[in-house]
Amino acid sequence: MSELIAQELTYRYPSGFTAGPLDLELGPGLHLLLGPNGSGKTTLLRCLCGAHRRARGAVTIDGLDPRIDPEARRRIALLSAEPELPDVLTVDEAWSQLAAIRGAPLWDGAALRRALDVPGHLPLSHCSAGQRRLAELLAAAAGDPGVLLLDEPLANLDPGHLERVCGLLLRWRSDRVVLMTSHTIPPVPLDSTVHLGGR
Amino acid sequence: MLSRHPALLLVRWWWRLVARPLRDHGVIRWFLLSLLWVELDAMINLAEASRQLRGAPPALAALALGALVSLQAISEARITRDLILSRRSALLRRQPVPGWTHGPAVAGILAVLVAPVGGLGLLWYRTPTAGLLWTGLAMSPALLWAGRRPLSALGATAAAAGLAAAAQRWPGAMAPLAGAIWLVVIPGAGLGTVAWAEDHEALPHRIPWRPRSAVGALLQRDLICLWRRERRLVLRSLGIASLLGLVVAAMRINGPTAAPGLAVGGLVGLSFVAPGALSALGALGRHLGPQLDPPTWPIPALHRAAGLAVIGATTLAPSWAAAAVGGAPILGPSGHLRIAAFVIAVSAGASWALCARPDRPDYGLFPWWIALCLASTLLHPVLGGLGALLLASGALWRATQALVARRWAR
Repeated sequence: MSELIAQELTYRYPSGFTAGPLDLELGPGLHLLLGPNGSGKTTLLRCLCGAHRRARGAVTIDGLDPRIDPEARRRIALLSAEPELPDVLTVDEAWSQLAAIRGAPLWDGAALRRALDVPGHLPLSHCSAGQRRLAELLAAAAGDPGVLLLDEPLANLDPGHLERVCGLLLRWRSDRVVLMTSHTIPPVPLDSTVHLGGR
Repeated sequence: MLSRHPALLLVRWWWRLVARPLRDHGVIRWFLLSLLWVELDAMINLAEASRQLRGAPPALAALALGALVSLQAISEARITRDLILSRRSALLRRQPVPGWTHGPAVAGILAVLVAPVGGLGLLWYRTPTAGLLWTGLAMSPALLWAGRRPLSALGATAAAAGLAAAAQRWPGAMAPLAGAIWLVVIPGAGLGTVAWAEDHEALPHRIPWRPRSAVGALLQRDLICLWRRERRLVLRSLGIASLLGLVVAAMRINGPTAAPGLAVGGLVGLSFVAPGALSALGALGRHLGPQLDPPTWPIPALHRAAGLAVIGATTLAPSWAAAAVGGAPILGPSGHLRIAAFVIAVSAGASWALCARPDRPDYGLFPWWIALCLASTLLHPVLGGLGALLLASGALWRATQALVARRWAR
């Protein structure tokens, strides 16, 4: 069972503004990071997974710092609000590569892809906004990381796919830490809500 | 309400979309063609030339048109694809209208592009009907080449050549033939464009192989990116490789050249190809952007830098293989070891150049690095190879440092 701990996590933008501080101690479950626009939710998610350098504070995933330890980065995945996967790949190529990168080359993403109803052979450049979101979610889940940071995972989804993703979140909450951001209260039962103040 | 007809509305939309690039592309060509026409008129008696050409056997007309159409279609495939089949016009192609309604617009664009062929038809027969006929005949092959359908394009070219021969044989049939061609080509161009887009945009890509390790996944990603976005670069390296193979083979056959001489020849040849390694990596950096080396990946920087060097080396591998084939059996293991040391050193240097500045590698300094690697390998068969490997280690170390610094800087 994974555990995500952040203490006094603060990020300083080059302009001098700061995001945070954020304190959290999360175990398996579905958690919501709530805050107004510009409060730094996305930035702090990036700090949590080690993509951004924090100005102050500490982050550990199962006791390991993702900024330093590759093993910690293997156990955490970020679904960014903006599409990040290269356009040249297909949906299947994207998740299979991410699984191999996270040290789980035999991870079977086909079942999850079918559950999400995304065509595997579809080039990412040809995906609609909703399909792209689902493909990025699939790639984030590749290799079954213990901690999932999901930035606006329900954006751009039609009602059918929204229901599928919510079902998936409910399934994941039992055995992994899922921390998501949203501007609205998501239609799934939450285990905790973390409030973040504005800048 | 003819002005509200979908075909006319589409003509206006297409025109707005392509007018500027078409003008940029066309003005200089039309100017040059006019100049050529004036020159020809001053140099030869065009009326007499036309009389002789009209009396030529139909096979000659077929051959001339076939060659012209092929040349035009292949050389202009890129601009044709960009104007008609690219994502620029995807919004238009998705409109819920019958495919043929795109015909007038697409045929108009094609006609402008293939007009030089029509101009030569005019030169051949000195009648506007002939110009119209040759223009119409050149349009389908141009569209098919642009859509990367070479077999269909060859078929269409053969059909066009046959019709040109028929027009030469029976000049009286030229006008009805031209009319019939245009009647078929206009809606056909629209239908073909929409059908191509439907096929192409749903084109499945199969996973070439399922990566079994992190480094394997990175190599797969990089190779896929190069193949799908920079195929010309890959094909160019193959073309240059065949040239190098020929040069080395000529050295082996014509001169009393021993193994060291062939190795030196191969190395010097490879040094001309070597900038391609950085070009490939630079293209990779451009296409992948921040995804070239995301700090969230659990991949050691050294592995990433080495993976990039391997990608750089793949652009040199065809030339090396061609030199091996051309120089066999004289080149021998020692020659291959020297070439290997050079390839490793150059690729590591390319990786360093990319890791230091992923968005804008220093292309100006890279030739000096190639010269250093070449000098090292030419210096001495054994010590030079070791020197090149030392250079490669240093470059990889610097590349790793640069990647680590970039990861920590975010």
